[in-house]
Amino acid sequence: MTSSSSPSRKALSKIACNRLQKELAEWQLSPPAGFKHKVSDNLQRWVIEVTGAAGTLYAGETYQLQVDFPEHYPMEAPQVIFLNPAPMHPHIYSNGHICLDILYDSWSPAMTVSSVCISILSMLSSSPAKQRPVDNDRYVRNCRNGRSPKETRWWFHDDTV
Amino acid sequence: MGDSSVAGALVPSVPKPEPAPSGDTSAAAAATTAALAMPEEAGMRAASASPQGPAEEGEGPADRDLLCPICMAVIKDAFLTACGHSFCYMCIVTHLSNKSDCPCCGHYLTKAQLYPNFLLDKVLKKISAQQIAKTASPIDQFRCALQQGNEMGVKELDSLMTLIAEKKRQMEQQESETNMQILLVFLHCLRKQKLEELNEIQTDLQYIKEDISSVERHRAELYRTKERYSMKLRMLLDEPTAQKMWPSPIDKASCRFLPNSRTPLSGSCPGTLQNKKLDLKAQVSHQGFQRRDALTSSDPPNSPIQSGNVIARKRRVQAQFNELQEYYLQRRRTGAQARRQEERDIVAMNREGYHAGLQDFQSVLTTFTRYSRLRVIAELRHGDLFHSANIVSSIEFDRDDELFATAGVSKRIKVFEFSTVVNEPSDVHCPVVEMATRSKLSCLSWNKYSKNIIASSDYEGIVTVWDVQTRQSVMEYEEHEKRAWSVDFSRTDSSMLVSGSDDCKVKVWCTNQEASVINIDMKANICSVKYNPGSSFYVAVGSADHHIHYFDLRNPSSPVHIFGGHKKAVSYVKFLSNNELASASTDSTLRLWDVKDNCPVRTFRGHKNEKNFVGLSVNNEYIACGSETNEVFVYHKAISKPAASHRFVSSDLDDADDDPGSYFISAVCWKSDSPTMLTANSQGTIKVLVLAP
Repeated sequence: MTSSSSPSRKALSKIACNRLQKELAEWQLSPPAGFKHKVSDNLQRWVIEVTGAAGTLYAGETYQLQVDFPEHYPMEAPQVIFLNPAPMHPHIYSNGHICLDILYDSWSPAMTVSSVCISILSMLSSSPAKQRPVDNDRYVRNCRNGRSPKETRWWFHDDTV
Repeated sequence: MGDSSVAGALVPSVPKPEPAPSGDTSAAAAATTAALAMPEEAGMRAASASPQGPAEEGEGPADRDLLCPICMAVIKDAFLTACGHSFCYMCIVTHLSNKSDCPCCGHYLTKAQLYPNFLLDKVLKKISAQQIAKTASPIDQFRCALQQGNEMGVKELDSLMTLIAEKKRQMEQQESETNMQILLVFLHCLRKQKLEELNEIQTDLQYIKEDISSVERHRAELYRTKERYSMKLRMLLDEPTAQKMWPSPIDKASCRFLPNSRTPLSGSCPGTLQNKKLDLKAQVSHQGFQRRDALTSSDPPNSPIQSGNVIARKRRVQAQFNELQEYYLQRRRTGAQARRQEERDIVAMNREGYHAGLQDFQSVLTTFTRYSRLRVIAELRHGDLFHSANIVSSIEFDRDDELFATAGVSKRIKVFEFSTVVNEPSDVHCPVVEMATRSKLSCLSWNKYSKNIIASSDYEGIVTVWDVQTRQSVMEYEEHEKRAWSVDFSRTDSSMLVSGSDDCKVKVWCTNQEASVINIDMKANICSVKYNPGSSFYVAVGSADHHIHYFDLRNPSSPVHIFGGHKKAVSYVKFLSNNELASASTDSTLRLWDVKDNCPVRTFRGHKNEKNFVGLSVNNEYIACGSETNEVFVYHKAISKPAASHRFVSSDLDDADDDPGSYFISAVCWKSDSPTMLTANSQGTIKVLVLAP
């Protein structure tokens, strides 16, 4: 499968397929609160609707996450981005790229789509203000050719948000 | 003793971990810490840990706790990390080849710090087996129970076997009933079908039986008539006593003949019906022979001829037996239906001694077996020396069959005297009239009343009426925009003629007017047109759309009926009678239609016609047509296969360069109510053929 919005992805390995089928079955049994998986035939790409938690800056707002799985998932982290329009958040760039360590260096095979979703919702909920990252414009210009956020050398410096 | 007392002391601590799983975790962590800190005590701790296994099993832990955190499947080859987490061996080794941390807690970890957990492996296998057992089908559970089966008693087994046997019997009975039901339905259908066939055959046999009786009665009557005639003859001859010597040998000869004719009949059972009919004709012929014998008194020469004739006719019957059988049964069944409707037919039958169907069949049999071939009685080389293309498109007898006219690509109408052509042996015959035309001609039609008038249609679309006597055109109709293929004078109204053209139009003309009287737009090329001989209103139109359109000219906006069945263009239409229409098509078939009941009657096959106009002509009984094999074919209107054929052979030296196989018959025409006909081919050769035995 080739997508213009992301680099060419290899088909899922057998282990990845088995793992994702189990995750999907578990999701259907007990999905995390505030998230809805949009059903499709493509196991390799999940589109998930996110609703802001009550009592937060994003209460009642809806955003869409796109999760693309690599060939050797879960040994490799999935690519997770917000589809346009991305929420205004100090760690979320306007092109949908997310600055969250568990999506990159801190990824662990024991993590799941559910646990990642919960972390993202937690990050949204603890936002102090609706604003873009300070280096948003420069970063987005550099990513104009459709580069994956996994190719970025992230500097995770803010533990409060 | 000290060791056993230690084990006993640990057993009471089991109730403590029940309330919280975290308790188990902390215990495991403590154990790990102790192992790391004091190697000597590690052995003792490990030994004390093994009794806890049964305790865990008793707890019935949740499913998720049995799954590998990486692949989310039941842990396979369980390995324990230094930090106390369990994974599949392959999963954790694959992870550690990329990173050096624990996937669960992130603690630093290397492959050297992995340890097999054999106890966990055993526990997981047991639990898997139990789960498999739970989800197994009742039959599998039953099978396992039987294989392990120490628990069941003989009485229980007996009752189970009884139940199983009863169940089996019921299922087998159900299946057997279903199969019987299907077989029964099939047999009923088969019987019904066979009974219908049997009824049909019995009805046919009844017809045949009745007809045999009728024919035999008729034959007996003929025999008695012959006897009376012989008696009278003998009485007349008896008066002159001097001539008594003559009749005696004749009478004896005729007496000898009769037994001979009967003996072969009894010998041939399969063809009994046909043989009896032929015998009937033989009797008639014999009667004629008897008369001739009385007149000429020459016995020996005629006998072989008669027997030869009978044999030839029998052979013809055998050759077309299936066709004759079909026709006979068709006529008898139709006659039977008519009989049921009208009682008068019964009276009629009693009078004639025949059913109408049988009488009709006899007539067909007589005419069909009369001829078997075509004989050439005259031939003339038609065409100018300087013209290579001499196709004769049309050849037609005049009203009285005294003259015939030819026309074609030679751009000439030539009129010949028939008697001269037939009687004079000369190879070259001069036409009595010759008229030059501007274009190639496609069709000719004599006026049915005025002897001198003939109409032609040509490749320019012009229909011309000629006066043969003055050799001038009387009228020229120029409305057709393309080639006109066909023209025909009405028989009942001699001033009317009809034409058809490639411009998709049928036009009706009057010899007194220059403009067309009626115009019919057909949407497809017109190949042939023909007036009904009994009416000036009805016209049959053969079209390139594969159909025959039958019009009443009093309402020309739509045809009275459309006859469909041909698979290609209809090249000719001709009327055998007021109700019988024959058509020819480039699908290599002729068809006979009933224009009164608007239905097809018969299809004729045997000739070959795929692209050319090969000619079609009909009389009361026979249909003649040409073939692209350079042969003339003659069909009897009641039999689908050809009754006779004749092949043109081109032996001229001039044509040696040409391919003989490319010639075709291009025109045919019967002489009215006679077995004689005119034929012409694409070389321009004209032959007079006659049907012969």
